[in-house]
Amino acid sequence: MMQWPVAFDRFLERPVPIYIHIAAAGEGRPPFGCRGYTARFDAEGGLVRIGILKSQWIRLQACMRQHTALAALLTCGIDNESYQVKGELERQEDLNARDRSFLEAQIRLTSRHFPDYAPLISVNPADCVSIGIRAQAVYQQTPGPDAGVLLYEREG
Amino acid sequence: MMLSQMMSAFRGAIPSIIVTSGEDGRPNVANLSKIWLVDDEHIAIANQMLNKTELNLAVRPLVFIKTATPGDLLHWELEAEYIHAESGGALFESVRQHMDAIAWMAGLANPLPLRSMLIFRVLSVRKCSEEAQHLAPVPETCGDLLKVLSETLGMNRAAYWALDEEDQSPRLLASRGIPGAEKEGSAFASMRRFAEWAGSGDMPIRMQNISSQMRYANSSRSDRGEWGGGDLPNHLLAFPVMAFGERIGVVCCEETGIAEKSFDDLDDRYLAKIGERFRPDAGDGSLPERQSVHAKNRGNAVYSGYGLFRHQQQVVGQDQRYGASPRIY
Repeated sequence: MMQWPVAFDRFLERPVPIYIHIAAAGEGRPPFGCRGYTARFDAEGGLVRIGILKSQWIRLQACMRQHTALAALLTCGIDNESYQVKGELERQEDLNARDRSFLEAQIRLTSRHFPDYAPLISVNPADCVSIGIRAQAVYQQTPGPDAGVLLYEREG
Repeated sequence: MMLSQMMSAFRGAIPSIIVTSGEDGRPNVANLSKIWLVDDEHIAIANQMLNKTELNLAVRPLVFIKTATPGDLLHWELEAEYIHAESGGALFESVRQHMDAIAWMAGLANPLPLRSMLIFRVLSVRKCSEEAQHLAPVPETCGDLLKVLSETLGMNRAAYWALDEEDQSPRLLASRGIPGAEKEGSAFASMRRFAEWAGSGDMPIRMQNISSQMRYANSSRSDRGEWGGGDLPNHLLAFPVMAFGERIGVVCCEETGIAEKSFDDLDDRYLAKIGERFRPDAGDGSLPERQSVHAKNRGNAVYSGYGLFRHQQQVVGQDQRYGASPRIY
Protein backbone atom coordinates (compact mmCIF):
# COMPACT_ATOMS: atom_id res chain seq x y z
CA MET A 1 0.00 0.00 0.00
CA MET A 2 1.38 3.39 -0.95
CA GLN A 3 1.89 5.86 1.86
CA TRP A 4 0.42 9.32 1.72
CA PRO A 5 3.16 11.53 0.20
CA VAL A 6 4.90 13.52 2.88
CA ALA A 7 6.21 15.81 0.14
CA PHE A 8 2.66 17.01 -0.50
CA ASP A 9 2.09 17.84 3.16
CA ARG A 10 5.42 19.64 3.28
CA PHE A 11 4.48 21.53 0.15
CA LEU A 12 1.33 22.87 1.80
CA GLU A 13 3.45 24.09 4.70
CA ARG A 14 5.91 26.00 2.53
CA PRO A 15 5.86 29.77 3.05
CA VAL A 16 5.32 30.46 -0.65
CA PRO A 17 2.41 31.61 -2.79
CA ILE A 18 0.54 28.54 -3.98
CA TYR A 19 -1.76 28.80 -6.96
CA ILE A 20 -4.65 26.38 -6.92
CA HIS A 21 -7.09 25.24 -9.57
CA ILE A 22 -9.83 22.65 -9.25
CA ALA A 23 -11.62 21.00 -12.17
CA ALA A 24 -14.51 18.70 -13.03
CA ALA A 25 -15.67 17.14 -16.28
CA GLY A 26 -19.12 16.35 -17.63
CA GLU A 27 -20.29 14.33 -20.60
CA GLY A 28 -20.62 15.95 -24.02
CA ARG A 29 -19.38 19.32 -22.89
CA PRO A 30 -16.05 20.91 -22.12
CA PRO A 31 -14.71 20.42 -18.60
CA PHE A 32 -14.74 23.27 -16.12
CA GLY A 33 -12.14 24.68 -13.78
CA CYS A 34 -11.95 27.45 -11.24
CA ARG A 35 -9.48 29.04 -8.91
CA GLY A 36 -8.94 27.69 -5.42
CA TYR A 37 -7.97 29.90 -2.49
CA THR A 38 -7.25 27.46 0.32
CA ALA A 39 -5.83 23.94 0.55
CA ARG A 40 -5.24 21.52 3.39
CA PHE A 41 -4.98 17.81 3.99
CA ASP A 42 -7.47 16.55 6.50
CA ALA A 43 -5.63 13.42 7.67
CA GLU A 44 -8.47 12.32 9.93
CA GLY A 45 -11.02 12.29 7.15
CA GLY A 46 -8.50 11.40 4.46
CA LEU A 47 -9.56 14.38 2.41
CA VAL A 48 -7.77 17.11 0.53
CA ARG A 49 -9.84 20.23 1.05
CA ILE A 50 -9.85 23.07 -1.48
CA GLY A 51 -11.61 26.37 -0.81
CA ILE A 52 -13.38 27.94 -3.77
CA LEU A 53 -15.94 30.70 -4.24
CA LYS A 54 -19.53 29.64 -3.57
CA SER A 55 -20.49 31.12 -6.91
CA GLN A 56 -17.97 28.83 -8.60
CA TRP A 57 -19.13 25.84 -6.57
CA ILE A 58 -22.51 26.23 -8.25
CA ARG A 59 -20.85 26.07 -11.65
CA LEU A 60 -18.60 23.20 -10.67
CA GLN A 61 -21.60 21.16 -9.53
CA ALA A 62 -23.33 21.80 -12.83
CA CYS A 63 -20.40 20.09 -14.50
CA MET A 64 -20.55 17.06 -12.19
CA ARG A 65 -23.91 15.58 -13.09
CA GLN A 66 -22.42 12.38 -14.55
CA HIS A 67 -19.12 12.19 -12.69
CA THR A 68 -18.05 13.21 -9.22
CA ALA A 69 -14.37 13.05 -10.15
CA LEU A 70 -12.33 16.13 -9.33
CA ALA A 71 -8.76 17.20 -9.99
CA ALA A 72 -6.87 19.88 -8.12
CA LEU A 73 -3.58 21.32 -9.30
CA LEU A 74 -1.43 23.15 -6.77
CA THR A 75 1.59 25.10 -7.98
CA CYS A 76 4.18 27.13 -6.15
CA GLY A 77 4.42 30.59 -7.68
CA ILE A 78 8.14 30.80 -6.93
CA ASP A 79 9.65 27.59 -8.33
CA ASN A 80 6.71 25.77 -9.98
CA GLU A 81 6.76 22.83 -7.56
CA SER A 82 3.42 21.25 -8.44
CA TYR A 83 1.15 18.41 -7.38
CA GLN A 84 -2.09 17.18 -8.84
CA VAL A 85 -4.63 15.45 -6.62
CA LYS A 86 -7.31 13.32 -8.26
CA GLY A 87 -10.26 11.85 -6.47
CA GLU A 88 -13.96 11.95 -5.77
CA LEU A 89 -16.07 14.70 -4.29
CA GLU A 90 -16.75 13.84 -0.70
CA ARG A 91 -18.58 16.75 0.90
CA GLN A 92 -18.42 20.50 1.14
CA GLU A 93 -18.50 22.71 4.20
CA ASP A 94 -17.72 26.24 5.29
CA LEU A 95 -14.08 27.26 5.64
CA ASN A 96 -12.74 26.50 9.09
CA ALA A 97 -10.07 28.28 11.10
CA ARG A 98 -7.23 26.42 9.35
CA ASP A 99 -8.60 27.41 5.94
CA ARG A 100 -8.91 31.02 6.99
CA SER A 101 -5.40 30.98 8.34
CA PHE A 102 -4.10 29.48 5.07
CA LEU A 103 -5.91 32.17 3.07
CA GLU A 104 -4.53 34.96 5.23
CA ALA A 105 -1.01 33.55 4.86
CA GLN A 106 -1.41 33.24 1.10
CA ILE A 107 -2.59 36.84 0.75
CA ARG A 108 0.38 37.95 2.84
CA LEU A 109 2.89 35.84 0.87
CA THR A 110 1.49 36.85 -2.50
CA SER A 111 1.56 40.49 -1.47
CA ARG A 112 5.24 40.06 -0.64
CA HIS A 113 6.34 38.11 -3.72
CA PHE A 114 3.84 39.19 -6.38
CA PRO A 115 2.08 42.29 -5.06
CA ASP A 116 0.32 42.93 -8.36
CA TYR A 117 -1.45 39.57 -8.10
CA ALA A 118 -2.58 39.82 -4.48
CA PRO A 119 -6.06 41.07 -5.46
CA LEU A 120 -6.59 37.79 -7.32
CA ILE A 121 -6.75 35.81 -4.11
CA SER A 122 -8.02 38.46 -1.71
CA VAL A 123 -11.44 36.91 -1.32
CA ASN A 124 -13.73 37.03 1.67
CA PRO A 125 -13.68 33.65 3.47
CA ALA A 126 -17.44 33.97 3.94
CA ASP A 127 -17.82 33.83 0.17
CA CYS A 128 -16.00 30.50 -0.05
CA VAL A 129 -16.83 26.88 0.51
CA SER A 130 -14.41 24.06 1.23
CA ILE A 131 -14.66 21.13 -1.20
CA GLY A 132 -13.55 17.76 0.08
CA ILE A 133 -11.71 15.47 -2.33
CA ARG A 134 -11.23 11.85 -1.30
CA ALA A 135 -7.83 11.49 -2.92
CA GLN A 136 -7.39 8.44 -5.11
CA ALA A 137 -4.11 9.55 -6.60
CA VAL A 138 -1.50 12.24 -6.18
CA TYR A 139 0.92 13.02 -8.99
CA GLN A 140 4.02 15.10 -8.98
CA GLN A 141 3.65 17.76 -11.63
CA THR A 142 6.73 19.89 -11.17
CA PRO A 143 8.15 20.57 -14.65
CA GLY A 144 11.06 18.27 -15.33
CA PRO A 145 11.90 14.60 -15.63
CA ASP A 146 9.61 13.57 -12.74
CA ALA A 147 6.53 15.37 -14.04
CA GLY A 148 3.60 12.97 -14.00
CA VAL A 149 5.15 10.54 -11.52
CA LEU A 150 2.53 8.84 -9.35
CA LEU A 151 3.24 9.57 -5.70
CA TYR A 152 0.21 7.98 -4.10
CA GLU A 153 -2.64 5.74 -5.14
CA ARG A 154 -5.41 4.55 -2.88
CA GLU A 155 -6.23 0.89 -3.06
CA GLY A 156 -9.70 -0.36 -3.73
CA MET B 1 -14.25 35.94 -32.52
CA MET B 2 -11.86 37.01 -29.78
CA LEU B 3 -12.69 40.05 -27.71
CA SER B 4 -10.27 42.93 -28.06
CA GLN B 5 -10.32 43.31 -24.26
CA MET B 6 -8.58 39.98 -23.76
CA MET B 7 -5.76 40.28 -26.31
CA SER B 8 -3.18 41.03 -23.62
CA ALA B 9 -3.85 37.57 -22.15
CA PHE B 10 -1.91 36.12 -25.08
CA ARG B 11 1.29 37.90 -24.06
CA GLY B 12 1.92 35.25 -21.44
CA ALA B 13 2.30 37.57 -18.46
CA ILE B 14 0.05 35.44 -16.25
CA PRO B 15 0.16 31.62 -16.50
CA SER B 16 -2.93 29.89 -17.82
CA ILE B 17 -4.40 26.43 -17.32
CA ILE B 18 -5.97 23.84 -19.58
CA VAL B 19 -8.50 21.29 -18.32
CA THR B 20 -9.04 18.09 -20.29
CA SER B 21 -10.86 14.90 -19.40
CA GLY B 22 -10.17 11.23 -19.94
CA GLU B 23 -12.38 8.45 -21.19
CA ASP B 24 -13.38 7.68 -17.61
CA GLY B 25 -14.54 11.27 -17.07
CA ARG B 26 -11.61 12.17 -14.86
CA PRO B 27 -10.45 15.74 -15.32
CA ASN B 28 -6.82 16.75 -15.65
CA VAL B 29 -5.38 20.22 -15.11
CA ALA B 30 -2.12 21.44 -16.62
CA ASN B 31 -0.32 24.74 -16.32
CA LEU B 32 0.46 26.70 -19.47
CA SER B 33 3.08 29.40 -19.58
CA LYS B 34 1.59 30.93 -22.67
CA ILE B 35 -1.24 30.60 -25.18
CA TRP B 36 -0.62 31.56 -28.79
CA LEU B 37 -3.28 33.34 -30.78
CA VAL B 38 -3.34 31.78 -34.25
CA ASP B 39 -6.20 33.74 -35.77
CA ASP B 40 -9.59 35.09 -34.78
CA GLU B 41 -10.96 31.61 -34.09
CA HIS B 42 -7.94 29.48 -33.28
CA ILE B 43 -5.39 29.28 -30.50
CA ALA B 44 -2.39 27.03 -29.89
CA ILE B 45 -0.43 25.74 -26.95
CA ALA B 46 3.09 24.39 -26.84
CA ASN B 47 3.40 20.71 -26.03
CA GLN B 48 6.68 20.07 -24.27
CA MET B 49 5.56 17.55 -21.70
CA LEU B 50 1.76 17.58 -21.75
CA ASN B 51 1.59 13.79 -21.61
CA LYS B 52 -1.79 13.37 -19.92
CA THR B 53 -3.30 16.30 -21.78
CA GLU B 54 -2.25 14.76 -25.08
CA LEU B 55 -3.72 11.37 -24.15
CA ASN B 56 -6.99 12.96 -23.11
CA LEU B 57 -7.28 15.03 -26.27
CA ALA B 58 -7.17 11.85 -28.32
CA VAL B 59 -10.40 10.63 -26.71
CA ARG B 60 -12.14 13.84 -25.67
CA PRO B 61 -11.32 16.92 -27.74
CA LEU B 62 -13.38 19.46 -25.77
CA VAL B 63 -11.26 21.50 -23.39
CA PHE B 64 -11.54 24.37 -20.96
CA ILE B 65 -8.79 26.99 -20.95
CA LYS B 66 -8.49 29.75 -18.42
CA THR B 67 -6.30 32.74 -18.87
CA ALA B 68 -6.06 36.27 -17.47
CA THR B 69 -5.36 39.75 -18.67
CA PRO B 70 -2.48 41.32 -16.74
CA GLY B 71 -3.74 44.90 -16.60
CA ASP B 72 -7.01 44.22 -14.84
CA LEU B 73 -6.41 40.63 -13.64
CA LEU B 74 -9.69 39.55 -15.20
CA HIS B 75 -10.00 35.85 -15.93
CA TRP B 76 -11.22 34.62 -19.27
CA GLU B 77 -12.73 31.21 -19.89
CA LEU B 78 -12.30 29.66 -23.30
CA GLU B 79 -14.14 26.52 -24.31
CA ALA B 80 -12.37 25.00 -27.27
CA GLU B 81 -12.13 21.94 -29.43
CA TYR B 82 -8.85 20.25 -30.23
CA ILE B 83 -8.21 20.19 -33.97
CA HIS B 84 -4.75 18.72 -34.54
CA ALA B 85 -1.07 18.85 -33.62
CA GLU B 86 1.62 20.48 -35.74
CA SER B 87 5.23 19.43 -35.45
CA GLY B 88 6.49 21.62 -38.26
CA GLY B 89 5.52 24.71 -40.18
CA ALA B 90 5.69 28.43 -39.52
CA LEU B 91 3.92 28.46 -36.15
CA PHE B 92 5.95 25.53 -34.80
CA GLU B 93 9.25 27.07 -35.92
CA SER B 94 8.34 30.45 -34.53
CA VAL B 95 7.46 29.02 -31.11
CA ARG B 96 10.53 26.75 -31.10
CA GLN B 97 12.77 29.76 -31.71
CA HIS B 98 10.96 31.65 -28.98
CA MET B 99 11.54 28.78 -26.53
CA ASP B 100 15.17 28.40 -27.55
CA ALA B 101 15.67 32.07 -26.82
CA ILE B 102 14.02 31.73 -23.41
CA ALA B 103 16.16 28.68 -22.60
CA TRP B 104 19.31 30.47 -23.70
CA MET B 105 18.45 33.49 -21.56
CA ALA B 106 17.78 31.18 -18.60
CA GLY B 107 21.09 29.39 -19.16
CA LEU B 108 19.47 25.97 -19.63
CA ALA B 109 21.90 23.49 -21.13
CA ASN B 110 19.28 20.89 -22.05
CA PRO B 111 15.93 22.60 -22.44
CA LEU B 112 12.82 20.52 -22.92
CA PRO B 113 12.22 20.10 -26.65
CA LEU B 114 9.05 21.38 -28.25
CA ARG B 115 7.19 18.26 -29.34
CA SER B 116 4.32 19.92 -31.14
CA MET B 117 1.89 22.80 -31.20
CA LEU B 118 -1.64 21.77 -30.24
CA ILE B 119 -4.22 23.70 -32.24
CA PHE B 120 -7.72 24.42 -30.94
CA ARG B 121 -10.82 26.01 -32.40
CA VAL B 122 -12.36 28.39 -29.87
CA LEU B 123 -16.05 27.69 -29.23
CA SER B 124 -16.78 30.31 -26.64
CA VAL B 125 -15.18 33.13 -24.72
CA ARG B 126 -16.51 34.22 -21.38
CA LYS B 127 -15.33 36.76 -18.85
CA CYS B 128 -15.20 35.00 -15.49
CA SER B 129 -17.18 37.57 -13.53
CA GLU B 130 -17.38 35.24 -10.54
CA GLU B 131 -13.66 35.56 -9.85
CA ALA B 132 -13.59 39.25 -10.73
CA GLN B 133 -16.05 40.62 -8.22
CA HIS B 134 -13.51 40.93 -5.44
CA LEU B 135 -11.15 42.81 -7.76
CA ALA B 136 -13.40 45.87 -7.79
CA PRO B 137 -14.26 47.85 -4.66
CA VAL B 138 -17.77 46.94 -3.58
CA PRO B 139 -19.18 50.48 -3.70
CA GLU B 140 -17.98 50.81 -7.28
CA THR B 141 -19.63 47.52 -8.19
CA CYS B 142 -22.88 48.56 -6.52
CA GLY B 143 -22.73 51.86 -8.35
CA ASP B 144 -22.51 49.99 -11.63
CA LEU B 145 -25.49 47.87 -10.66
CA LEU B 146 -27.55 50.94 -9.73
CA LYS B 147 -26.65 52.40 -13.11
CA VAL B 148 -28.11 49.30 -14.75
CA LEU B 149 -31.36 49.74 -12.81
CA SER B 150 -31.50 53.39 -13.83
CA GLU B 151 -30.84 52.76 -17.50
CA THR B 152 -33.20 49.86 -17.89
CA LEU B 153 -35.99 50.29 -15.39
CA GLY B 154 -35.89 54.05 -14.95
CA MET B 155 -35.02 53.85 -11.25
CA ASN B 156 -33.24 57.19 -11.32
CA ARG B 157 -33.06 57.76 -7.58
CA ALA B 158 -31.81 54.65 -5.88
CA ALA B 159 -29.42 53.42 -3.23
CA TYR B 160 -27.98 50.11 -2.18
CA TRP B 161 -27.78 49.39 1.53
CA ALA B 162 -25.77 46.47 2.90
CA LEU B 163 -27.28 44.83 5.97
CA ASP B 164 -25.12 44.21 9.01
CA GLU B 165 -24.64 40.50 9.68
CA GLU B 166 -25.35 40.90 13.40
CA ASP B 167 -28.19 43.38 13.78
CA GLN B 168 -29.32 43.80 10.15
CA SER B 169 -28.83 47.58 10.35
CA PRO B 170 -28.44 49.14 6.88
CA ARG B 171 -25.16 50.70 5.76
CA LEU B 172 -25.14 52.87 2.65
CA LEU B 173 -22.78 51.49 0.00
CA ALA B 174 -23.82 53.31 -3.16
CA SER B 175 -26.40 55.76 -4.37
CA ARG B 176 -27.48 57.34 -7.58
CA GLY B 177 -29.54 60.46 -8.24
CA ILE B 178 -30.30 61.31 -4.60
CA PRO B 179 -30.47 65.13 -4.27
CA GLY B 180 -27.92 66.50 -1.79
CA ALA B 181 -26.13 63.15 -1.47
CA GLU B 182 -22.70 64.67 -1.99
CA LYS B 183 -23.19 67.36 0.65
CA GLU B 184 -25.13 66.00 3.56
CA GLY B 185 -25.83 62.66 5.13
CA SER B 186 -29.32 63.82 6.06
CA ALA B 187 -30.24 63.44 2.40
CA PHE B 188 -30.59 59.74 3.18
CA ALA B 189 -32.39 60.07 6.49
CA SER B 190 -35.82 59.01 5.33
CA MET B 191 -34.43 56.40 2.95
CA ARG B 192 -32.36 54.89 5.77
CA ARG B 193 -35.52 54.43 7.80
CA PHE B 194 -37.19 52.86 4.81
CA ALA B 195 -34.18 50.56 4.32
CA GLU B 196 -34.37 49.49 7.99
CA TRP B 197 -38.00 48.59 7.50
CA ALA B 198 -37.48 46.80 4.20
CA GLY B 199 -34.41 45.00 5.52
CA SER B 200 -36.46 43.22 8.14
CA GLY B 201 -38.50 41.25 5.61
CA ASP B 202 -38.08 39.16 2.51
CA MET B 203 -40.71 40.85 0.34
CA PRO B 204 -40.62 44.06 -1.71
CA ILE B 205 -42.27 47.05 -0.06
CA ARG B 206 -44.04 49.80 -1.93
CA MET B 207 -45.33 53.12 -0.65
CA GLN B 208 -47.30 55.19 -3.10
CA ASN B 209 -48.40 58.83 -3.18
CA ILE B 210 -46.93 59.58 0.21
CA SER B 211 -45.46 63.08 -0.24
CA SER B 212 -48.53 64.96 0.90
CA GLN B 213 -48.88 62.66 3.91
CA MET B 214 -45.22 63.16 4.75
CA ARG B 215 -45.62 66.95 4.52
CA TYR B 216 -48.58 66.73 6.85
CA ALA B 217 -46.64 64.58 9.29
CA ASN B 218 -43.66 66.91 9.07
CA SER B 219 -45.77 69.94 9.78
CA SER B 220 -46.83 68.44 13.08
CA ARG B 221 -43.25 67.72 14.17
CA SER B 222 -41.47 69.84 16.71
CA ASP B 223 -38.25 69.66 14.64
CA ARG B 224 -39.91 70.51 11.35
CA GLY B 225 -37.74 71.69 8.52
CA GLU B 226 -35.32 68.77 8.73
CA TRP B 227 -36.49 67.42 5.40
CA GLY B 228 -35.58 70.58 3.61
CA GLY B 229 -38.35 71.54 1.25
CA GLY B 230 -40.45 70.17 -1.51
CA ASP B 231 -38.37 67.37 -2.99
CA LEU B 232 -39.95 64.66 -0.92
CA PRO B 233 -40.35 61.27 -2.50
CA ASN B 234 -43.85 60.48 -3.63
CA HIS B 235 -43.37 56.78 -4.33
CA LEU B 236 -40.98 54.42 -2.61
CA LEU B 237 -39.91 50.92 -3.46
CA ALA B 238 -37.54 48.62 -1.62
CA PHE B 239 -36.60 45.05 -2.30
CA PRO B 240 -34.16 42.71 -0.56
CA VAL B 241 -30.97 41.43 -2.10
CA MET B 242 -30.36 37.76 -1.35
CA ALA B 243 -27.19 35.66 -1.40
CA PHE B 244 -27.19 31.95 -0.72
CA GLY B 245 -30.59 32.15 0.96
CA GLU B 246 -29.69 35.05 3.24
CA ARG B 247 -30.75 38.68 3.10
CA ILE B 248 -27.58 40.73 2.63
CA GLY B 249 -28.84 44.09 1.41
CA VAL B 250 -31.69 46.28 0.28
CA VAL B 251 -32.19 48.34 -2.85
CA CYS B 252 -34.31 51.43 -2.19
CA CYS B 253 -35.74 53.54 -4.99
CA GLU B 254 -37.82 56.67 -4.96
CA GLU B 255 -39.79 58.85 -7.36
CA THR B 256 -40.92 62.38 -6.66
CA GLY B 257 -43.63 63.61 -9.04
CA ILE B 258 -47.31 62.77 -8.76
CA ALA B 259 -47.36 61.83 -12.41
CA GLU B 260 -44.28 59.65 -12.14
CA LYS B 261 -44.66 55.93 -12.27
CA SER B 262 -45.31 54.34 -8.94
CA PHE B 263 -43.32 51.12 -9.37
CA ASP B 264 -46.54 49.12 -9.43
CA ASP B 265 -45.73 47.75 -12.87
CA LEU B 266 -42.89 45.74 -11.38
CA ASP B 267 -44.04 42.29 -10.39
CA ASP B 268 -42.87 41.03 -6.99
CA ARG B 269 -41.45 37.91 -8.56
CA TYR B 270 -39.44 40.00 -11.00
CA LEU B 271 -38.05 42.08 -8.14
CA ALA B 272 -37.18 38.88 -6.31
CA LYS B 273 -35.23 37.73 -9.35
CA ILE B 274 -33.39 41.05 -9.50
CA GLY B 275 -32.63 40.68 -5.80
CA GLU B 276 -31.03 37.31 -6.46
CA ARG B 277 -28.94 38.67 -9.33
CA PHE B 278 -28.10 42.06 -7.85
CA ARG B 279 -25.68 40.99 -5.19
CA PRO B 280 -22.39 42.73 -5.78
CA ASP B 281 -20.20 39.71 -5.03
CA ALA B 282 -21.54 37.36 -7.64
CA GLY B 283 -23.52 39.21 -10.26
CA ASP B 284 -22.78 38.72 -13.91
CA GLY B 285 -23.85 42.20 -14.89
CA SER B 286 -27.19 41.00 -16.13
CA LEU B 287 -30.70 41.10 -14.81
CA PRO B 288 -33.63 38.88 -15.69
CA GLU B 289 -35.68 39.87 -18.67
CA ARG B 290 -39.22 40.97 -18.16
CA GLN B 291 -41.84 39.43 -20.35
CA SER B 292 -45.10 40.89 -21.44
CA VAL B 293 -47.81 42.06 -19.10
CA HIS B 294 -50.03 39.38 -20.64
CA ALA B 295 -47.68 36.64 -19.55
CA LYS B 296 -47.52 38.16 -16.09
CA ASN B 297 -51.30 38.37 -15.85
CA ARG B 298 -51.70 34.78 -16.92
CA GLY B 299 -49.52 33.78 -14.03
CA ASN B 300 -47.00 32.10 -16.31
CA ALA B 301 -43.33 31.96 -15.53
CA VAL B 302 -42.39 35.47 -16.50
CA TYR B 303 -38.63 35.30 -16.36
CA SER B 304 -36.69 33.91 -19.21
CA GLY B 305 -33.28 34.05 -17.59
CA TYR B 306 -31.68 35.84 -20.52
CA GLY B 307 -29.34 38.66 -19.66
CA LEU B 308 -31.13 41.91 -20.37
CA PHE B 309 -28.35 44.37 -19.92
CA ARG B 310 -25.38 44.28 -22.15
CA HIS B 311 -23.21 47.08 -20.91
CA GLN B 312 -20.68 44.54 -19.70
CA GLN B 313 -21.23 41.77 -22.16
CA GLN B 314 -22.40 40.76 -25.57
CA VAL B 315 -24.72 37.82 -25.88
CA VAL B 316 -24.77 35.85 -29.06
CA GLY B 317 -27.43 33.21 -28.96
CA GLN B 318 -27.76 31.38 -25.65
CA ASP B 319 -28.32 28.06 -27.32
CA GLN B 320 -25.50 28.23 -29.86
CA ARG B 321 -23.17 26.47 -27.49
CA TYR B 322 -21.03 24.44 -29.79
CA GLY B 323 -22.00 25.71 -33.18
CA ALA B 324 -19.73 26.99 -35.86
CA SER B 325 -19.36 30.44 -34.39
CA PRO B 326 -17.78 31.18 -31.05
CA ARG B 327 -20.17 32.34 -28.36
CA ILE B 328 -19.33 35.64 -26.73
CA TYR B 329 -20.71 36.37 -23.28
